[in-house]
Amino acid sequence: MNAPMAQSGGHPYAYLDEFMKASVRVAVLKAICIPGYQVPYVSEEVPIARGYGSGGLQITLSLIGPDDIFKIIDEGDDETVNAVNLRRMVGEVTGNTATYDATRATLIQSRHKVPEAPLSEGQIVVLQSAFPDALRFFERSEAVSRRMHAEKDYGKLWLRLYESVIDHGEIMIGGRYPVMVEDRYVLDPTHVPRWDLPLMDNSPALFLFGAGREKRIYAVPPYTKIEPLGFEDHPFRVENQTGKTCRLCGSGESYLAPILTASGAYDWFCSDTSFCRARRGEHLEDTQWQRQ
Amino acid sequence: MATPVIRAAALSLRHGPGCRRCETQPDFDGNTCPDCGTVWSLRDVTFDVAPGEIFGIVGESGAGKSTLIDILDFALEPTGGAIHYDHWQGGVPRLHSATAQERRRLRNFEISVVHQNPRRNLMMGVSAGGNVVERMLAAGDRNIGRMRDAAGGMLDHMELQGRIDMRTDKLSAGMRQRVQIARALVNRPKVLLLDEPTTGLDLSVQARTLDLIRRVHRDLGLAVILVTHDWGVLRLLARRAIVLKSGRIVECGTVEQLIEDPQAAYTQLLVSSAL
Amino acid sequence: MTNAILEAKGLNKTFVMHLLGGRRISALQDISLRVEEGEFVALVGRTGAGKSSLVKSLLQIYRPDSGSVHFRRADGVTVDLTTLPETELLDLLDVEIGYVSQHLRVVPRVGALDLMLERASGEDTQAARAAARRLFAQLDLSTELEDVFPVTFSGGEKQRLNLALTLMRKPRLLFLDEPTAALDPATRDRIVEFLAARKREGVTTIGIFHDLDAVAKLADRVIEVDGGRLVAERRTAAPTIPA
Repeated sequence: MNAPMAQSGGHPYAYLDEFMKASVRVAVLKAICIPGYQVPYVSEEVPIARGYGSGGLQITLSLIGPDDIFKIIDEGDDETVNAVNLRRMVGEVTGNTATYDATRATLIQSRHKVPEAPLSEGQIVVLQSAFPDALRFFERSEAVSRRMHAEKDYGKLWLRLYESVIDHGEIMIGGRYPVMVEDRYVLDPTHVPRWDLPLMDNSPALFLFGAGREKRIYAVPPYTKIEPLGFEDHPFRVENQTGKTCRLCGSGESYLAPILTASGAYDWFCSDTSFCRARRGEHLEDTQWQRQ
Repeated sequence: MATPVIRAAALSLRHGPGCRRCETQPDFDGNTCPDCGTVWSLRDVTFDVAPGEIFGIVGESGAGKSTLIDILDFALEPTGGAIHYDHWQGGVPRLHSATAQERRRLRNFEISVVHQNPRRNLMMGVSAGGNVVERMLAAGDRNIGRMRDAAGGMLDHMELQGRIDMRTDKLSAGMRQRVQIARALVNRPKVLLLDEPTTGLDLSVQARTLDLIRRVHRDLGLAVILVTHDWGVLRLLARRAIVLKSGRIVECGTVEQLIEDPQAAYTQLLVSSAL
Repeated sequence: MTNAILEAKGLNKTFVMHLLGGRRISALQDISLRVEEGEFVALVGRTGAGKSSLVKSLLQIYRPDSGSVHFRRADGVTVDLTTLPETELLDLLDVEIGYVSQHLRVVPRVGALDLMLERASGEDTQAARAAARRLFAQLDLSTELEDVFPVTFSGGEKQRLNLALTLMRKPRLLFLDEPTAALDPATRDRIVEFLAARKREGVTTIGIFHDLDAVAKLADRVIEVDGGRLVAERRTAAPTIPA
């Protein structure tokens, strides 16, 4: 059953007041002006706990307008517990339409996955980010890591990639694979699979990243160059899915996630469930929410 | 005479406001002005280093030797005077007017430092090869095969064959020092700053490291500024030197002159105290 | 017409020992000396007379209090060593002016031949090796010693190595400090022959000797030093070693 929400009159459209929305929008604009740069912002409380996408939610609620059609996914799936709850929350504070169709959504909030469907101009993808700074792993001091970004001093990051190649024969990094934005800043793309990084490169859509707990917003504007770090002789590679296809729709061109079957073996399924459904000719209806 | 590659002109580093007495009449012993309490870590230090020469800076603890190295390495800013580096803008402007980016470039490619304590420069949890490769990565190299060949060659040169993938914290002190030297040289700098490079090492290791420094200096023809308190090391490596005490130059000359004909009282004291 | 390669005028040197309350020790008093190119000058005198001080003051290892030391370089230009910038002085002392002191500066862990090759601008060429070996042979240094670290050499071997190292650079003006001291008679003769051969090649030599036999065989001029002054000088008869 639904938890009781505040009655209408208790909060404005999209829950946040105009002051908060304005401060998030200013940060978003700054982030777009400096692709890949982490913009600090005032990250006020929202009705979900930190670590559950508060940053992404703040961006979504600040940007959404009455004509927006929104979509919420979690590791590619619209129907996980978190995705369902977030969708209900956004729907009830806005009264907007939610869709499963990535090609028709104007605003997509996602955790750890970029939609597989080709995106177009005017679409915004908001990614929930936990660790905005790719350097934090090597440098605990914020002052020092800021200087490193300012001076494009990414030696320690490259060194980690080198050591990975020496230890494993290739760059053995799964999620949070560091990418260079417009040859200037290194950005942590969150835990999206390596597969998704080419989807962000030169995309017509706008990508925004919100880290609520760390209080940072960063952006990849449309048609921006995203280059995952790699060496001349050990370049970046997406996950190896040779010979694997989705058991439901047969796709070999989408990111596949393994599911353990009853027999103990793994089957592979499209991570992006709506993409998979569309390939099978199934469509779920949009939901027109009522403002509470 | 060839233009000096490094020229220090009236270099000073003070902590405190300064006053008429310590600015114009520094007749006190030690670093601290009795009138205003200003501490002068370095005062009016002037010298020049010819291309390809090994230049010594000798003195006891607290003399200001490491401060001088820190200034040359951009870790500290001088409060007075200037350093001029011949390969940056023809040696005309003060080296410390360089921007952060230019300083990084200078430290990556032109002026390298080897500290007495290798932990200042080395990442202990990273392999020896990794510590060397990091410099090449900072210089923009992106080819692992080529970098590993260069790092491996450099480490072989330092008598560290086969240790390219060994974690630095598993190496002995002498080996770590040689990794530091390899790291400092891999981008072929023009100036090498050595801060007590063999102090604290066992004698046999010292001999090996000094021999290495001599060879490397000959092979690469770089200018070296060598800070030491050891007159034996100075005599072995350096041609000319300055003697520092309480931040001031007490005497300067060729190393032979300083050892055989020390003229300042302090130099005589140091030389006669040397084993 | 002067063919002087070295001319010192009015050299004075007094040591001030600050550790002994400023005690002054006079080493040289008003020394003037002129040496022609190709001459072999022997400095003789008692211990402590000032012979070493004179040599070191000429070489600027001791910095004279006053006076000048003019040296005519290979390019014909005459310079005053007392006022020359240190780097130029050191360059001259590297190449044109050689000094064989009594002490062999021990370089740890470098073999004798390698030390020689370092002197030949560090290049390990066939020519350099051949030159080094020739010097070793002339000075009776066995080829077995080539890879040995000189710290283990006997006193006589060290002296000869010192001489070899200095001669590797083919200096025009050579200073020697007791090159035959502590050598057995046979080796001493070898050294004397060697120095005579250098003299025939045109090398100017200023040497401190206690060995009057060697002096008789080599020197064109003998200068006696006493109490920091030049007290006597005589030209010898033609040296007994034929050209």
